[in-house]
Amino acid sequence: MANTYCTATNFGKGFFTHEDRNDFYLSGHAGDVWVVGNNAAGVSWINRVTGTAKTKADAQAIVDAKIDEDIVAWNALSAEEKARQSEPVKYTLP
Amino acid sequence: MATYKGIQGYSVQKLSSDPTATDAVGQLWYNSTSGKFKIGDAGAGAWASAPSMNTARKQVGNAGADNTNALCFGGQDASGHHGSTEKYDGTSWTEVGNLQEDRRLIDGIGTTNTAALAAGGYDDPGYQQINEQWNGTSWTEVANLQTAKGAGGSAGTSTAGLAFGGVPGSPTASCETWNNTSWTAVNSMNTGRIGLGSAGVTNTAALGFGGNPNTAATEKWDGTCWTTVNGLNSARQYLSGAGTSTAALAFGGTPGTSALTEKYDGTSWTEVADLATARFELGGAGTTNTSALAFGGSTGPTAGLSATEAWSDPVYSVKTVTVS
Repeated sequence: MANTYCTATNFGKGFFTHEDRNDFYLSGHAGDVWVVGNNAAGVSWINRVTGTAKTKADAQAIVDAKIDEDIVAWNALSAEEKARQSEPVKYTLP
Repeated sequence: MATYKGIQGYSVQKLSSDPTATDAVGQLWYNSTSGKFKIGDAGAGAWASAPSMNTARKQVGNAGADNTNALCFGGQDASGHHGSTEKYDGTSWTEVGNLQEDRRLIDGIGTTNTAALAAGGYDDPGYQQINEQWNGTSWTEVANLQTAKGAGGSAGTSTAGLAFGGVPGSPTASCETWNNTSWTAVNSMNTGRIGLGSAGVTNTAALGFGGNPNTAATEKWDGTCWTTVNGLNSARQYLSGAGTSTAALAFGGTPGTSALTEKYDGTSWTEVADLATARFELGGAGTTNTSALAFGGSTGPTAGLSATEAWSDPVYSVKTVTVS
């Protein structure tokens, strides 16, 4: 499995370092969901930030729920605002 | 038993503590305290988390020098338009003097957090000509733009600035230059656009890239005219930028929510390491493509972000060598 999944709150400086970014894959998503490269450095990072492990399905469900909220909000935007940003679309976590 | 010195003709240095990561590049040593062999490495550029802003927001104005020096002003949060200003010193964001006029989509200009310009922007009922100058403590209204605009590109300093592209109406290609007294209309860009990224530390050399209608097109300003140069690898809009007209960084943007980062070397764009948090309508600061800051922005219509990321290229580190 290439990636693992967790939720964690970004507390700012030190949450992830430059070295972390070169040691494992990391991407943040809505709902404080983080996709983390499944290697020793990535697992160590989850422990360091006291992340809560999630299955891919659970992580995807959190992100999907946030995007559903965004779609409702996007539909309520003015035409000027809609022209500036595309309608949110659900996507599959890596 | 053969020794390393016997084979190579010299010894591995022995140090009681590691040198700084910056000083250690290319070196190998034995740390006598930890009993480990170490090497100094200069790895690929990357984004790291940095302290979050006090107020989450998008569509912000921005200025600054590098990943330790930035200014964020205006924008939009859940309560509407914002006039607050936050200053980043490498350790934390601090709230400082508010803009005179709350607005968002400001063309922010400035190479330091102690001197900046907030040109134009949107406040009901439309785009504004308002221009405010930051002296490190407070904002003062100075001479208006020639035409109301916002969501454009910008370059230069608080006393020698450039504002290009943006709105209102259909995307504009117009360009104005600031001499610390007044704005003057100069030659327009070749392609009108809004929500473009920009780079440049003077009003005589700048780069504009991406924008809406969704484009990868990049143009370079030489103080007299705009010339189309090699485009971004990925077309996008409402992205941010840092650097100069010959060494720039482009990051974030939309359609969708982009984490992409591209680096310009004066000839072409190369994709480098992504932001950790994809976003658009974000702020950016930095006068080089080796040290920059990304802050705020949006992942959708519901909320702005407070998250900040710091770009360093290269990333210096000390690594332990595995021996058997």
